[in-house]
Amino acid sequence: MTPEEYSLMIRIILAVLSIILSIFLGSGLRKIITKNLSKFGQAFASKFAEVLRYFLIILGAVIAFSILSLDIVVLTGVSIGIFIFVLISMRDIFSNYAGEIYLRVRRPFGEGDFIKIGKISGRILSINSQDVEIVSLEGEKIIIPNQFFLKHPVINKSSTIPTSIELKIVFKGLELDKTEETIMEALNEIRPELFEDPRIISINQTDDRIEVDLLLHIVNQRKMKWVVNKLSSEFHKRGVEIEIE
Amino acid sequence: MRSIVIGGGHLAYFAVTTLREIDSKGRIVIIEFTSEKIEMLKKTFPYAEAIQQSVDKVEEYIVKNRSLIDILISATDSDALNLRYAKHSVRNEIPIVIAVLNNPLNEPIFRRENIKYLINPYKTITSKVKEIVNKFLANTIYEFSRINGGIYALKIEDARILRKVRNFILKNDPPFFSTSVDSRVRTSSAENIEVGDVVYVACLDKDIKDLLEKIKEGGK
Repeated sequence: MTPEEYSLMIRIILAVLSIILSIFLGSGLRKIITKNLSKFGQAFASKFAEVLRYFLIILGAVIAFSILSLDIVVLTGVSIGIFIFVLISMRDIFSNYAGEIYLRVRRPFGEGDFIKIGKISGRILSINSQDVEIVSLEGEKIIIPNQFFLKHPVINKSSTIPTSIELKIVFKGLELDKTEETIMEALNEIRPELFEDPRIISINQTDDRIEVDLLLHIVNQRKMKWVVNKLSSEFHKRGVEIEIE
Repeated sequence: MRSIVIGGGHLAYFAVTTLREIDSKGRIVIIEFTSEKIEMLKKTFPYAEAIQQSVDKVEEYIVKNRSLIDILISATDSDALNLRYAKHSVRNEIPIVIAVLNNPLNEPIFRRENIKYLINPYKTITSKVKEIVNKFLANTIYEFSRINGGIYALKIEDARILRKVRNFILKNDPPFFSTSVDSRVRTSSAENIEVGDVVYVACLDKDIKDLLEKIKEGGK
């Protein structure tokens, strides 16, 4: 055997060892990570461990190629290039994964909580790898990418179940002294659907308009549309025209 | 608020009376399967609305009213039905879904199905027996539903356990009090705890598990 052949054989053995070692380490690390991160959810822990395992295997493969290759610098350059390309082209996906890690570890909210982020309010349906599904007050399903939670402050209103909602009702052509009585009559009709007694926060009169601010407490936010319609029809029954804002 | 109670048995009785106490002006709807029980329910709960539905039509009712239902308590005499209705309600985004257990051994099945609020009426048997007989190392007095924590009783059987519990209290600063062998309540100071006392502590369940692990491990 010539010295070149001997050297090639050694390199092949080292390359195979490098791959075997990376597979072995990846499997070991997967078990450890799954066990230690299971408190953040079994699915999340498994996925995180799997990503790390593949990373180690790829690392092992790159090292193996480096051992086999005569020109390590070129190979390393290509690897770094591919890595940067993948990172840039999938930056949103990685960012969403980072968002998921933040949501799982920091736990700013959980499924079933009512949150407000930016101009969006709603109840959390599910927290996924890439996004969070929420249902809005209007009953619409909204998908928010996880990276959004890294950049915007979240208000978790779950501790304040039921949700307090302010309604502004504008009356036209109604006498001020009759307004409160009419409102209370209409509110009594919707009271069984509310968590507790509604409150009149303020009554203001400007020209022929009377603006009333109400505070309602509801548990099921999808009920809001029904509440508004019911209030409108109750005022309509009493011959009072209103605008609800 | 609008509360739906499924079932007309004794579990439902306690659910309905509690809902009435929480929100006396709220709307309570009881769904029952048999006409005989419906008549009885109307007499027992004149403030509630009793509806007769067949077993397979309950899901349809939930879907129709899902935007109006605030709380749903699945409290029939069958755990299979309670699980079925609770799962269906969770899927339909009812804000608060509570299932009541008939057989405590079914608890893990409900947990696996992600039913967040589960009432096991039999859970107090264990803690009550331990408390009355006064023989335990740790006794779960109460488990909170909204957080993973509770109120736990710890028996100080020897100086080693006393040391561990004192360290735990000094480190975590949880609300606590202790009772002596003759059931006198001591002041809330870790230094006043003695061997033979029972310490009642409110904390997260992971903290109490850590403490019990340390006690079981032994050593200083």
